[in-house]
Amino acid sequence: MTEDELASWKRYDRNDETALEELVLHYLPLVRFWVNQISGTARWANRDDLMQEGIIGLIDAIRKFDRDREGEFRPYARKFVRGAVFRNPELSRNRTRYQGDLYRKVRDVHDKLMQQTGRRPTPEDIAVESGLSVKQVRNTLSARNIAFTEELFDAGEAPAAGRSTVERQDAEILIGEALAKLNEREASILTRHYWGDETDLEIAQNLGMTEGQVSKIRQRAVAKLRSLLGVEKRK
Amino acid sequence: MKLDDPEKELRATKYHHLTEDELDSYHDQTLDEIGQARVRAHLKLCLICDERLELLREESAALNDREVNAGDVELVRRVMQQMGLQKPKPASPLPLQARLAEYFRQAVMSWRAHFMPAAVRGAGHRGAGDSGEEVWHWQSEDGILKARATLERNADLVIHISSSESALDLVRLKIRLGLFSEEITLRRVSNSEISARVEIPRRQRPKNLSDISIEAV
Repeated sequence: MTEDELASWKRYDRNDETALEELVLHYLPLVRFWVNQISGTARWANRDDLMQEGIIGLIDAIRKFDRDREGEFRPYARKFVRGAVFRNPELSRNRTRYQGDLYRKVRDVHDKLMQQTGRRPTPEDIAVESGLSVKQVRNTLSARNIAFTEELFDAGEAPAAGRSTVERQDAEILIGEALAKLNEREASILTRHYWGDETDLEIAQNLGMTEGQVSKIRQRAVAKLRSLLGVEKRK
Repeated sequence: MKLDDPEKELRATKYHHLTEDELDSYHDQTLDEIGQARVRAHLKLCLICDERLELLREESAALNDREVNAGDVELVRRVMQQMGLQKPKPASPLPLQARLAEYFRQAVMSWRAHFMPAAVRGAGHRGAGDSGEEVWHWQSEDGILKARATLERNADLVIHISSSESALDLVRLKIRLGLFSEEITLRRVSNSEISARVEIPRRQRPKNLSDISIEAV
């Protein structure tokens, strides 16, 4: 937060009437950015109306933002701004479900390929697998379209592997907490091996250790993880 | 929730799409090392989350463009007024040029009503022999502009225009009465008064005094 920004917030806290307008004008580029993104996809929508909705969302965010509890204002405000803009009935009324369905299809193929191959799928890979054209895939996976479609159709489900989003997030939290309890070297070796796909030899070279040391520490760290997560060793 | 196999879970988490909060924290560099490692591992694999991160980068760059124009201010004020967060400000005064045009339109209407042919015969000429007799006067509703006409001893007609508005200093006016036409300049004559006058010689004074126009040049 810049000094000017902070000064405006402090004056706003003191109920200075002009501070709210100052803050709205300060963060107006955020509204403009999202309205531009959304109206770029929803070309039929009235841009001025979307701007007004976005400003209403921004004002709402400013009034509800708790500087002591929340982190950065930008991500906090973004949710309010987008939420307010997407409440504009023009956006959903004129939208067919087709785009939502298309996005889900492309995303499912993307996720399947990602897990099968262990690498990032290209639009060409997805096109072959889904039977869509590369252009369709590219359009569907453009950042602007992803933001639009996920917001409007709530299509943000990740590769499931039989789990709900909440269960996946739970698993992430548990793993993250357990990793944080390991020492730095153990955590580094595990993340390099399981997330970075580095072999023990590569890790050893990168950390200036022997392959044997890495292997030993990795096995010990996995055992610690088991214990931390309350998992019994398989026989 | 109980996890069956830590190794399997570790491998699986890198395929989980990132939440917007995670992407924000990664972008703002506020993630711890483990969080960063997971985000990096997923971004290497995921076209979708990479695009989403790119959008956040664009958003961040867009926020650096803080240029605000008059239209933005007006829009924000309008929305705030609609929400009852700001009282409507009194209408801003018209630009000077527009105000002057309106003043002179009213002055000319007053002049024409006063110097219609019958009135000229009945009123204007009646005092023509007196020295500097005021034959017409007018004042704008806001009191900023005043105008009056006097008939001098030598029968010249003099139109005086004065104002308390300092912005009118050096404004040029074109006054036409029948075929007579002259440009004059309003000038400061005291701290609180700007004025100008035009003399219309008797010989050039038209019979029909109502044919007048005044405009800022």
